[in-house]
Amino acid sequence: MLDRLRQFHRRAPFLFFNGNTFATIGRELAFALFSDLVPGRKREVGSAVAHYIAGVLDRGAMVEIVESLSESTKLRAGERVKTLRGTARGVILRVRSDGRVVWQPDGSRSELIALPESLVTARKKGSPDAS
Amino acid sequence: MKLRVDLLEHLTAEDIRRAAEDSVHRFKPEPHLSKTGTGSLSSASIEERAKEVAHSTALTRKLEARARRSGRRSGRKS
Repeated sequence: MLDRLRQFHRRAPFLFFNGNTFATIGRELAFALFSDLVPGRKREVGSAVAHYIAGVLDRGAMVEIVESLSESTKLRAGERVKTLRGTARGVILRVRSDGRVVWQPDGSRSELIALPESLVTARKKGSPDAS
Repeated sequence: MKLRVDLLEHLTAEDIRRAAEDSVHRFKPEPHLSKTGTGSLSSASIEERAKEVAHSTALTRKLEARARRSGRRSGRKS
């Protein structure tokens, strides 16, 4: 379905504004399909889908983003994580009793507290499925 | 995680038209993808990202309400 929407965008059946037409269809479909995700993750899934259909994100990257955001939010101490947009990476130090996690970004001694939904598991560089 | 295909059935063309209007300013009108192979989509501002989060939450609620209503209606018929 998403490939078809991107093809429609590429064919440009309208004189203007093909991008927002087809990207929005994909984004709204994603919002409906991924309704069970927490709002922040759902927004990122919709954004990745829209960027793919708009022609600014390749298929592999889009699939990786959607799959990582669909994974469980249960994180454990020692697990490598990254922020939803991948701007920071680090490691989980401990899980608090209220469910939030304490993590340390790479290259820093700071300890940050975050909701588990706002982090995704980061695969180690060099592992077979690392990107 | 379960894909909510049941909610997808309640998404209307009008929902998509309104969302397309709201995000039109982030796109260029020219058909860049067909001419160059690369499209264009400007980055969302922090406010726009917050609006999208609110919009996706509101859409989910709307679709769930429609699903409940249609379930009730079909329940009465049978």
